[in-house]
Amino acid sequence: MTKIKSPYISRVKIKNFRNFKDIDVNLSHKQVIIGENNVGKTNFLKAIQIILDPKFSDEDRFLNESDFYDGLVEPMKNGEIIEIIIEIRGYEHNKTVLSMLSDATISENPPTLRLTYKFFPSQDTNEYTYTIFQGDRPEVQFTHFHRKFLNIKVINAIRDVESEMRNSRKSPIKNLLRDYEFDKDELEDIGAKLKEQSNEILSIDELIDLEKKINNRFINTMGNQSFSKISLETIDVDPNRILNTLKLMIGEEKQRPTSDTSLGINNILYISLILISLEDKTIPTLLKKENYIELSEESDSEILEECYVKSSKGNYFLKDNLDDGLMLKLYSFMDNYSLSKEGFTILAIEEPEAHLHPSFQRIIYKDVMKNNTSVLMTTHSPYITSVAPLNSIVHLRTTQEGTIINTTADLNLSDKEKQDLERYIDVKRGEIYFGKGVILVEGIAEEYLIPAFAEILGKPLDLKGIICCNINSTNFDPYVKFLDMLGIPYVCITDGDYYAWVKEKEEPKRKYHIVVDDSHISNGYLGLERIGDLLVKLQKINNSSLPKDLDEQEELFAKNGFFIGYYTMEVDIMDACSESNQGKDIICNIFNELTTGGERQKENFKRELNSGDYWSCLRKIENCENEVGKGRFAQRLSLMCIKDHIPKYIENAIDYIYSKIEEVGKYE
Amino acid sequence: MNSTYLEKLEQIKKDKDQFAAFNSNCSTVVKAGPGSGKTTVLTLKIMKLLNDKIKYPRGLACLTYNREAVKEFTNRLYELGYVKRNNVFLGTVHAFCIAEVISPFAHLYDYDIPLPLKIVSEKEKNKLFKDTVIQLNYDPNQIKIIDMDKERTLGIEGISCVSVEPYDIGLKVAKEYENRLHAMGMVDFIDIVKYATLLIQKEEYVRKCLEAKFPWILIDEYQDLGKPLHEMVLSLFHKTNIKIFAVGDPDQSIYGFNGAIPDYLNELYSSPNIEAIELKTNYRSHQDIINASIIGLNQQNRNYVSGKRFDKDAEFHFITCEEEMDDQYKEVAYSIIPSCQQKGIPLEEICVLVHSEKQIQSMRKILDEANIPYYISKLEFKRSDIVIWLEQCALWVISNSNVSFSSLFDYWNNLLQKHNQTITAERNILERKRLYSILKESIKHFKSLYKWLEFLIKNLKLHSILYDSDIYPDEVDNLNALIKVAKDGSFRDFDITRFANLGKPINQITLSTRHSSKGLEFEVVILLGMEQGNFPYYKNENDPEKLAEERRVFFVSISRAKRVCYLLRSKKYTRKTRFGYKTFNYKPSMFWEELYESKKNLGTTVN
Repeated sequence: MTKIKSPYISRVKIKNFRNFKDIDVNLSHKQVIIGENNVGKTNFLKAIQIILDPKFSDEDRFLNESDFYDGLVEPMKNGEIIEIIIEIRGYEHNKTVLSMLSDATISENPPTLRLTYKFFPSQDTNEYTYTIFQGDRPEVQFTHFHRKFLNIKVINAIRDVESEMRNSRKSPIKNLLRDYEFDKDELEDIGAKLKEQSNEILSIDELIDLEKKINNRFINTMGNQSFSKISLETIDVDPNRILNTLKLMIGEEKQRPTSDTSLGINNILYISLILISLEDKTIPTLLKKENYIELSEESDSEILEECYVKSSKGNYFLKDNLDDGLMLKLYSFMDNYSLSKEGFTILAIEEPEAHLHPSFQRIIYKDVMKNNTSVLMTTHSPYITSVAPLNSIVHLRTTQEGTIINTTADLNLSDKEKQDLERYIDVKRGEIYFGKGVILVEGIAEEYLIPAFAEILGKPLDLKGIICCNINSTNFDPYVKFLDMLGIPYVCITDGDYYAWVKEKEEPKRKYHIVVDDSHISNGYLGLERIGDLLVKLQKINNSSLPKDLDEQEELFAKNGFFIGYYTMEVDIMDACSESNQGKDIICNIFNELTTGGERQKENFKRELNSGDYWSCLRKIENCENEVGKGRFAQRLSLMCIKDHIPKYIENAIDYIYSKIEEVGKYE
Repeated sequence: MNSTYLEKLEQIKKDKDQFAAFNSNCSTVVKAGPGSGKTTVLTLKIMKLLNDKIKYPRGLACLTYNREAVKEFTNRLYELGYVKRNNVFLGTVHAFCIAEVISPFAHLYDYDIPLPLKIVSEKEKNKLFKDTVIQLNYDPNQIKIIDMDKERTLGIEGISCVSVEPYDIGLKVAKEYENRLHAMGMVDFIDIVKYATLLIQKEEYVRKCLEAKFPWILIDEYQDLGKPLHEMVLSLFHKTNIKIFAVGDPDQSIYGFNGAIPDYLNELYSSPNIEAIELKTNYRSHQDIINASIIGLNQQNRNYVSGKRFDKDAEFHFITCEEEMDDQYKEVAYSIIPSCQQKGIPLEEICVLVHSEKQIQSMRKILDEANIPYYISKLEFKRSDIVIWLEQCALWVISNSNVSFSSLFDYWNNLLQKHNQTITAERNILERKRLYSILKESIKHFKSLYKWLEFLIKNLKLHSILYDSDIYPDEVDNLNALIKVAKDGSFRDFDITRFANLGKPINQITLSTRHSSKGLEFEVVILLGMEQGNFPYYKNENDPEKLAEERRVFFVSISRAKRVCYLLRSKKYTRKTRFGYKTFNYKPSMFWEELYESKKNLGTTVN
C-alpha cells in the first residue's frame, strides 16, 4: 500500500541458550533462515518468541536446565545466565509503538530499541527467575502491555491450514472481519430481510408436509411434551452471527469452498490472509462516516478530501493509486490523530514451502519479500531463497562452539554487483546457500569436469555437500564477499591465462594463447594478477606482503583458497596428460567422435596434441564449424576422464575444500 | 459515563467560556480568574480527551506547580471516573522532566548531563552557594540564593521574546556555582528543568517520543512556572503536533522572585494559532469582593462577574489598631474571630493572612492563649512525595476504601527500584506481602501519629533506603522534621486520621502568608499589616514592576474571600534606628486607601 515498512528485528544476541553459546547477528527487514536439519533454526525463532510472542505463557518464559547451552555442565548449579537481546528498528514513524516503547531506546541514529531477556539466579534467594526489560534500564520492564503493540506471530511448520480456516474463532477471515466496526442496525436490517425471504421457502407445500410428518413421528415416540415440537427453520439470522456465515470461495466460474480446494492453494490463501491482517492499519482503507467527520475537525484535515471518496452509503473509501508523497502525508496525519491503536506484528513462518509447487513458492514469496510486514522464515526451499533479498540470509551452521550464525544484513556491494549476484542466485535457484562448501568456477567446462575429477580423486563433491558454482565470468568479487558473510567455506578455481610481452608496431603488448617458451623474456599470468588484486581489495592480504615471486604468490593465494592454472583449463588438462598415452587417446577419441570435420582434421588434432601445440587443439574444439564446443567437449570428457587428466591446481583445490569441510564436519 | 462527570458536565455547559475551553480541539490558553472553576474545566477536559480523543496506548501529560496540587488533581480525576492507564502523566514539572525526558533520553546524547542524576541536598546547595559568593568576593547581602536561581532560569535561550534585565552579580555567581556543582557530579532541581528543556529543544527524537506519548499536554498555574517551562512549551508547540492546554491567571503571578512573571502566559495567550479563552465568571466571591480585588489590581479590562448568589451583603471592615502587630493579633483573636463565630461562621471558613513566617509564629502564640484552634498551611516539613505517600498509607490503614493498596505498593516498589534494588518477580511478591503486613500491623499505633510514624519508618527501613539517596537528598532530614513535629511539635496530639487528612483545616481557622494563600477560599479573610511601607514594601513602591507584583499579591489575598474582608493596620511601630529605638507613625497602605475610598463612594457597608 505504502512504502512505509513495519518495524523489524535488526539484531539478535543469544547467550547460553540451547544450541547457541554466544551469537550476535545483524538482521534486515526480511530474514530467511537456512541451515541443515537440527541446526537450531527453530531455537533461533524460539529465542525471539520468548521476548515477543504474546502466546507464550509465563511458564514458557520460565526456562529450565535443559534450555541452557548444551556445552555447559550443571549450568544452574554454577549460576550461568541465559541472555537474549533483540533490537528493533524502523519503528519511529509510528506513534503507537513510540508511545509504548520509547523507554527502550538505545540509540536515535538510527532509532533503535532494545529488549533484553535474562534468566538468572536472583541475588536474594539464589533461585532462578527471569526478567525482560527495556533498553539499558533494568527497572523498566517489558510486559504484555508492551507486547500487545510489538509482537511476533509464528506459523508453525506443522500446521493444519484447513482446520484453521474452518475454525470460526481462529480463522484469519474472521479476524479480518473483526477489524471492522460493523453497523449493528444495518446488519439487523439485513438479517430481518434474509429471514423474511427465506421463510418463503417454508410455505412450500412439500415442506409443510415434511414438517407434519416429522412431528407426527416424534410425538408418537416422545409423547406430547414441551420440547417435542419440531419445526423447520432456514438460516441463522442473529445479526451478530450473520457474519459468521460468510465463506471464502475459490474459482472464477466453478466456485468451490476452501475445504474443497488443494492444500497448496489453501496455504497460499492462509498466508495471504495473515499478511493482510498484519498490515499497518494506520491508514484506514475504509473510514466510517462519523470518524470522517471527527477527523475533519482537525486543522490539517484537507488531506482527507484528497485521499478518500464517499461510498454510496456515506462512508469513505481510500482512493486507489495515491502517490507516495500523499500517502506519507496521510500516514502522518492518521498517525497523529490515530484511530488505529494497533501495534505491529512480525511474522515468522516455518517452512513456508510446505505443500507448494516450486513455481508457486517463487511467485508467492517474491511478493512476500516486497511486503511491508517484516517476515522471518525458516526454509529448505531453494525456490524461496532464490527470490530472497541478498541481505536477508540468516545462515546457521554447527561448530564445536555451538551453532553459529552468519547473516548478510551488512552486505556491502555496489548496485551492479548486487544485480549480478541476485540474478545469478535467482537463475541458479539459490543453490549457493545450500552447499556446505562451494567451488567457484568461471565456466561451463569447469562445472562439468571438476565434479568428475573429484570423483576420480575419491573425493566426490556430493558426499560432502560441495557445490560447484559456475559464475560465467572471472568477477569473483561479489561471490567471495557473499560467501565470506555466509561463512560457507569455498575455493576458487580460475585460469592462469599465461601471456608474454611482445612488440607490435613498436608498442609493447601482451600476447595470450601461447605456451611457455624460453624465448619469452618478459611474461606473466593474468589469472595471478586478477586474484592478487582481488585479495588485496578484499583485504585478505595487504599489498606490501604480496611476494614478487610468482610461485610464492601462487602458494599464498592457495592458502586463501584461490587456485590458479597456467593457461586455460582445457590446455592445462592436455598439458597434464602429456606423458599419458591413455589420457591423450581419450581426448583424441572424444574430439573425433564429436567433430564434423574430416579425417585430415582429426589427424592434425592428434599431431598437435602430441607435439604440445595445445592452443591449436583448443581452437579446433572451439571452432564452430566443427560443432564441438568447449561445453560439449567437457561434458563428454567428464564421463571418460581419468586421473591423468587432472591438473595439479585443480587437485589441490579439491583437497583444500575437502579438508575445510572435514574440519567443520568434525564437530557435527 | 460516571455520574459525577455528567453532573459537572451539565454544570459547565451553562458557562459558555468554560464549555468552549472544554471543547477546544487545538492548542488553547485559558486565562482563569479567581474562582472561575479552572480545575473543574481542566479535569473534565482530561476525562474527555482520554475517553474520546486519545486512543490507548497514547495518553497525555498534565503538569502542575506542586505536589499538593498533583494530589488534589489526581483525586478529582478518580472522582470523575479516571482509571489508571499507561502514558498518562500527572505530576509536577520536575517529575516530568526526570521521568519523561532525562531518564529515558539523556544517555543517548552528549550534553554533559551528570548521569545517573544525583540531586544535591538543600544543605549542600546552601553551602556551595555561600562558598561561591565568598570565593567571588561578593557581599553576602548583595545576593541571595533565590536571586542566583532566578538568573539561572532566565539564562535559558529559546523562542520567547519576553526579555528580562539580567542581574550581573547573579549571573556570575550562577555560572561559578553551576561549574562547581557539576564538577561534583551533582545537579539541582533547576538543572533538571534546564537539561530537560535543552533536550526537548535540540533533539527531534525526544520531541517525537513525547509527541507519541502525549498528543496533549495540559499545564495548570502556567503563570507560576517560569521561563524554562515556557521555552519547553514553545518548543513543543512550534516543533511538534502536541496540543497545549495552558491554564493560568497572569493576575495571580506572585513568584517574581523565582523568575515567574505574567509575561510568559500573556505571550502564549497572544500567539497565533492558539485559541484564547477567558473565564470571566467568579463562582466563589460576592460581586463586591470581586470589585474590591480589581481595584487593588489597578488594571484595565477586568470584567469579572460573580456567578454565585449570596443571601447576605458583602462586608468590608477597616480596623485601625494602636501599636505594633501585636495589637492586630489580639484584635483578631479576641474580637474578630469571636464575632464571626457569633454570626455562625465556622472556623474553617476564616483565614488570617500575614506577611511572613515570623508573623505566623507570633500570631500562633496569641491564638494559643485565646484557645483558638488554627491550621497552618505551610508546615515545618515538606510534603514531599514520601510524606504524601505516608499520608496515603495512613488513609488506607484507617479506611482502605479510599485508596488502593496497589497504588501504595506501586510507589513503594518504584522507590525501592530507584534506590538500586532489583525487584524480581518473586521479590515483588515478597515486598508486597511485607508492606501489607507492616501497614496492617501499624493499626495498633493509630492513636499516636508519632508512634505510628516511628513504627513505619523503622520497619520499612526508610532511613537506610534513603540514606545518601540520589534523587531524594533531603528526605532523611525531612522525615526527621516530620517526626519532630509529631513527637513534640504541632502534631503531637495527632492521631493518624488527622494526618491522613493533612491539608484541610478541621474546625480550625487557617493561618497563612499572603503568598501561600493561593488556591484557597474562605468566607472571611483577615488581612494584617496594611500599613504604608509594609504592604507594599517601601522599597517596591517606586519600582513599577515590583509594585505591580505587590498589587497582584493584594489581589490574590482579597480574592480568597467569598464575602467578608477585614483589613487591619496599626498606627505606630517602634523600630530600632541608629539613634536607638524610635516610634514612628504609620499611614495606611495605599491598598487600604484605594479600597476605602471606593467603598465610601459606593456607600457599601464599611466599618
